[in-house]
Amino acid sequence: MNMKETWKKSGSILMTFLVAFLLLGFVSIVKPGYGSAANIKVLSISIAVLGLTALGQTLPILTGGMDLSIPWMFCIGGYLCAALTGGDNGKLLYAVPVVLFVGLLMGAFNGFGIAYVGIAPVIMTMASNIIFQGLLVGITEGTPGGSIPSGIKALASGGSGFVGWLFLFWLAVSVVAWLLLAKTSYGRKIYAVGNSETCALYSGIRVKLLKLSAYALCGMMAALAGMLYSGKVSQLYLGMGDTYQMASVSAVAIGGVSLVGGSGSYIGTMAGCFVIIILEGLLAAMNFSQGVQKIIYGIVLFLAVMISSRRKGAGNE
Amino acid sequence: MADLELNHISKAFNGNYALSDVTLSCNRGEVHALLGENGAGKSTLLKVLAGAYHPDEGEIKVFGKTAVIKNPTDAMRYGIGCVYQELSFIPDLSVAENIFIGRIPKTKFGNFDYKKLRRMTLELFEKYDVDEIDPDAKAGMISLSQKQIMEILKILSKDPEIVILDEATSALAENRVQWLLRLARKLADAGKIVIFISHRMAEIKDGCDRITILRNGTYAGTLPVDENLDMDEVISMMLGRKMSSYFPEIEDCTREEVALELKNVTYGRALRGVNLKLHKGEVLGIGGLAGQGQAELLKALYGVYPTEGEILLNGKPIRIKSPKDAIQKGIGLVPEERGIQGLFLNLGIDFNISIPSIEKLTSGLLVSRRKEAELVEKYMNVLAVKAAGPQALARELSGGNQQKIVMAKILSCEPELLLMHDITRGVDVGTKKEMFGLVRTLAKEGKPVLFFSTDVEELVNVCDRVIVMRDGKVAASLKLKTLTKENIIGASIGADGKGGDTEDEKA
Repeated sequence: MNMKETWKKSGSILMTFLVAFLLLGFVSIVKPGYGSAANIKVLSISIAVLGLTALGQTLPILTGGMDLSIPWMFCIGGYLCAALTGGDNGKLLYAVPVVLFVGLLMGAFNGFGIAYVGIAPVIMTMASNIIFQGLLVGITEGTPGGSIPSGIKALASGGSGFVGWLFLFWLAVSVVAWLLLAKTSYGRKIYAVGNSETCALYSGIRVKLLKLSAYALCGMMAALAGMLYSGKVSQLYLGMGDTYQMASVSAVAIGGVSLVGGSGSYIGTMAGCFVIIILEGLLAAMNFSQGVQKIIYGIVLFLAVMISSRRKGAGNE
Repeated sequence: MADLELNHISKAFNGNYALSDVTLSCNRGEVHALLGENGAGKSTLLKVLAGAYHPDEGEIKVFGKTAVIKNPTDAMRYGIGCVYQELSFIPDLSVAENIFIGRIPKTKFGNFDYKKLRRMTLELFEKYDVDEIDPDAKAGMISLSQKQIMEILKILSKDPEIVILDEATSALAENRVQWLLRLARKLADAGKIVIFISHRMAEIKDGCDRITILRNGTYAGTLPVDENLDMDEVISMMLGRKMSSYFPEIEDCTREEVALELKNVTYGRALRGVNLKLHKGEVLGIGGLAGQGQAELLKALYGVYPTEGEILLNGKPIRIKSPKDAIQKGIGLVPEERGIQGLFLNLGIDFNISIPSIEKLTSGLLVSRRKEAELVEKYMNVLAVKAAGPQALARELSGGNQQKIVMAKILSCEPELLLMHDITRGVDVGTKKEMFGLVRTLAKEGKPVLFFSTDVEELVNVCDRVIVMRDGKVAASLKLKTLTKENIIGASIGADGKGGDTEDEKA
């Protein structure tokens, strides 16, 4: 009985990966050159950037919340790294920990508002997104200071054959994330809180602290992703994180993580990232207008969320 | 064939049978009483009839036709009107508006015709002989008895063929109780069916024609109300069990050492200075009417609520800051609501049992699957859990097995002090017996148990000593000869002649 359910779950993740590769095959046929090593490498790097934000996003969503402030934590990550290093690779030694720590703090701010003050996650993170935007725009006056170190650029845009280095980096981080969620007591508690905060409390879990930590880790991942993204595109611009707001949520939803919390696996999120990036590539390759691309993208998200909430509904009865 | 038939109705919630194969049949011209203990399934049965719940099995026949009642609107179409135990009115609307809500007449200009509404209300009042309510008064401002009358009239104004009165008399003023009984008779004489629920035997004897008795969600029988009606028989049908075989032998293993001592513990208005001593190896029952601070006391000792006053655990003063803190200090709580506080219904048995001790099961950074499996297996065996396997989902288990999982989860933390909140609610008889046996075994091992139950019978038959709570204080402490049902109930309602807190007696 339970074997069947386990199979059903991993089966749907396998299906998601399959869909991604079918899409990729399809575009490669429709658009010659799409399947080239150089292009696949670029795709793999895009998947990795989305993957890092979606990794973060998985945590709040598993607890039954959501983080919509990823865009500007992402931006701050990129700007902060450039400002701290001024392009000097040597200074990365302290700049990277500072970026991660600032991301952690921004996330903790979200988590504090949500867990301790009791603000609804969507409201809290939307508001903090604007606050972070204001901070960044206010401090930088819109122009990036410093420049992106070559080390970051090499990591985030380099690669060999079909894969970018960043993709491998993401895979390594993902192993840690998967272990964290599936194999540690911390992961158990995340699922517990997402299933029932009341029961989690009675089971001796510090629910508020745990929720705060989920948002803090999400903020850290967003800042890290932003820093690496700036290396990928070799530039900094305000609003560079905007697309990751919905894309991170979509990746999690497509991957089969319930948007009301408590069920789903990080492997699913990874599959979701593949689907989204390849789908974006497909839409661009088909020469659809920006508007049509957004509509199709929106419909896919809508379907993913619908299926995700159905799944939870069936689970309850 | 009867005019109204509910045949073989079953309804389960999360695997707990609230109703199992229940049958009820009534005829026109009859006032039919439905009797049973709390939780016997009366309200569930009525909600099935009124369309609030959909039965899992069984059929409903209304006046010879099979009825599919999916919602209250369907029920109204079949002429079924239900006055619920929980009043549901809109406090800011007037009495007249509440009665005719959704059916307020309009003038030819399309606005509400309040003159006509008032007239309709007064006509309704006159028809049913009601004169103490002002139709224009805000519903929130009138007395409880008047609110109940308003609700009754609201249903009657729709001219139902089947009138259900769910504990409608409990909120009524004394003269209105007689009025309702007469009204029920009048409706029956006019060829309607009245289904009447009440806990007051006298009302049933005076006003009803037949009684159907439910017990633990099953049909226990139907009796005619006549001079031969034996009330003792009715009560034994309601309870339907031989107590002696069902409760454990009590062997008093209370020890000298005091495990838990409370000195003037207060929390808001719920706890107003609780003093008690709980000894090692003692099962101390907590009784009293509902809402006298018993639930708050257990939660406070589990760190859910902050308290003032002194709590001494094994002689040392402690503060319990959170459930996590409580577990670390060796306190375990079997909480009130199994499905909400006790279990993750959508997760497996293994997850549920291991979650409070998950940190102890971690070797290095990762949870040890082997240690976890051993722990889960051990406690599933201790409690004789019946399930497909350790990964079976909690929601798929019966109520009794769910309660065993909660128990297993708490025991797996190896607590030194156990707090139990109504551990036999919605649990089958067999499991109850096992639970009581387990409680006594824990006591024998020297563990102190604080055992709160709403069932007086349980308190008398499981505990070494019982304290009765009233108004957030300990009102009485009963042991040995004084530990009787009568004394517990007496102390609950303050009929023992004692008031306020009693000095905790020395054991």
